[in-house]
Amino acid sequence: MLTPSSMRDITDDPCAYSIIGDPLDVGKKYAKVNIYCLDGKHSSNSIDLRVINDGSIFDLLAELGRINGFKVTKDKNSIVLGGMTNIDEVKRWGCYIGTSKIVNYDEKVPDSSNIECFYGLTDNELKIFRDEIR
Amino acid sequence: MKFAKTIVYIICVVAILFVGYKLRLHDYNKIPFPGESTDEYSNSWMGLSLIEFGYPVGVSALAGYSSDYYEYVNVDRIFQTVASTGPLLFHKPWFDHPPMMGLFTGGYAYLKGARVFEDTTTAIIRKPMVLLGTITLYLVMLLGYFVAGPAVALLAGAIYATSPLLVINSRMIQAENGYLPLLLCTLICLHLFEKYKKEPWLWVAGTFSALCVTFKIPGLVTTLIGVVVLMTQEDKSVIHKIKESLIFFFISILGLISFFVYGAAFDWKEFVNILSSNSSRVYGIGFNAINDLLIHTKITGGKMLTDGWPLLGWLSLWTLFTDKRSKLFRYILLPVLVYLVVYLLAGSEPYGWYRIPFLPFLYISLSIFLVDALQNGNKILMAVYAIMIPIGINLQKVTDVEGGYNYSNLWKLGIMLVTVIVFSSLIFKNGKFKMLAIVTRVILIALVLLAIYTNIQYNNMITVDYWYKAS
Repeated sequence: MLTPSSMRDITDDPCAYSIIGDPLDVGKKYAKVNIYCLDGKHSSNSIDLRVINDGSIFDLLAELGRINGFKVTKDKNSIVLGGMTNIDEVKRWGCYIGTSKIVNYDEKVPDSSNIECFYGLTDNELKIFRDEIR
Repeated sequence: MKFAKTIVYIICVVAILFVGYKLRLHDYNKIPFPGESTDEYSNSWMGLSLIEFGYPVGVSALAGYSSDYYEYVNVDRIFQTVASTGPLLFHKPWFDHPPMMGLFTGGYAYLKGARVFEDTTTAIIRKPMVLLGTITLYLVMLLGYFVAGPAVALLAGAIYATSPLLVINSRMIQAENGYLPLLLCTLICLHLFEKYKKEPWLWVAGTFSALCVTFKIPGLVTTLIGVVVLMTQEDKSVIHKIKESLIFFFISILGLISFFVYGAAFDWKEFVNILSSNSSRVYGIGFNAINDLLIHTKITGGKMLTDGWPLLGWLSLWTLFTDKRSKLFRYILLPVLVYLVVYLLAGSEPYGWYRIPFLPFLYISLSIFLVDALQNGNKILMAVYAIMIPIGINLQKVTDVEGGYNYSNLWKLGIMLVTVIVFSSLIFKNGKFKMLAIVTRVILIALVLLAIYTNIQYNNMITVDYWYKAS
């Protein structure tokens, strides 16, 4: 009963939609997931972790994809969000919890974590970008 | 001649039903915004899960459920628009309310191909409510016809069809919209029972009353109203009235018993827990509930849509207290008072949909007041100024949007002219001044037509942008 509707639009763009607002009465059982795409597009989401029942980081991103309507797949030690595939060393996804890059998406999501996923940025560009958004 | 009058009358009824249906259909899936009340989805999900799996699953914030399931069901993309407080809290089995509302809309969704919760968009699940709202409109006219005559029926129908508050409210999937037509059917059948003195009408009335409870437990108000109506019959002995009331009561109560059987079939302990939780909801309506009822016209808990007709309806009720026609007192005023008591005792949050059962009676009452003023002239002074309540509100809303042109001079000129004519007709009654009485009646008819016309203009204004800005 909880699978997405076959009539709902699926998007290639993981930055097309955001979950509005913050979950109430969750204590620390939440995670913020910010996705940064090309051309400055950005999706900001705050998710109640109770929906994934102590699941992994991949489970959280997959759930976000299910809610917002984009596919999430694993790609070796990385991840692919929507239609933006990992093409080369630059055009690929990189996700971070704080400043630590995520290498194992099967790890459990820490409570009150802040996960950021970037597409198409080199390490230098990422450093500059992070300084800008702070 | 009589045949021609009947044909014209039927054409008017059909026209009113057509206008009411079209107004309710316009943007029905967009306004109120999908997700402004998740009850709409929860009711349908409960019905859909009951049909697909034989197990009711729904959303509830009530304490007492033994297990909680948090899920983001992003139907109509509500988590991108209005649902800003986190995931929905599901429970199974779901016992907040009896299942009939869910079976109605969830069943319709199932027939339209819905198989998962996200399939139940407002475009699908509100459609049967538009039809049900039109049926309710017809039943309001029928009740008005039986208790007060054809003129009242037409006027009540025209106002009920076009009142913006009702146009918006009636498309929402709330149990009150479900059991309201059954409440009206119950009263119509009780009237027919009194008129024709045939007991099968009493049994049918009891059946409709029993069905009310299968939508929501406060649907029991129909049972109370029915008993009060039966016990206040004239020209019957007390014993006779008690016997009829008991027959009606015991048939009606089958609806409540069926809900208990339904609960026992799934999980008796959980059912009792939720029943207890339901009966101890926070008294959100507050001690100023009656004042709130008169002054505020709500759609949801926080969203209001200013509409002058309910206030005029409440004011007009006072005239029924002294009316010698007992049918009006018993079939219009008493149901309002009985439901008012239930409303005040049940409490809970001041959601707009809890007020829906008042509205048919208020609208019939104000129609009686206006038609009486036209027919015997005693109340015409009051009627002319009272109708300016809804006209004024409608004009304020319509001219706010149009801006620019200043209608206030026209408004003041109109009031001046009306006042001069109406007061003159009171002072000069004889000889060649008798014409003034007729002119006054024409003025009242013109004002009523203006009120209905501005209703439609107001309805046309209610777009997605307008609703977004509405408080």
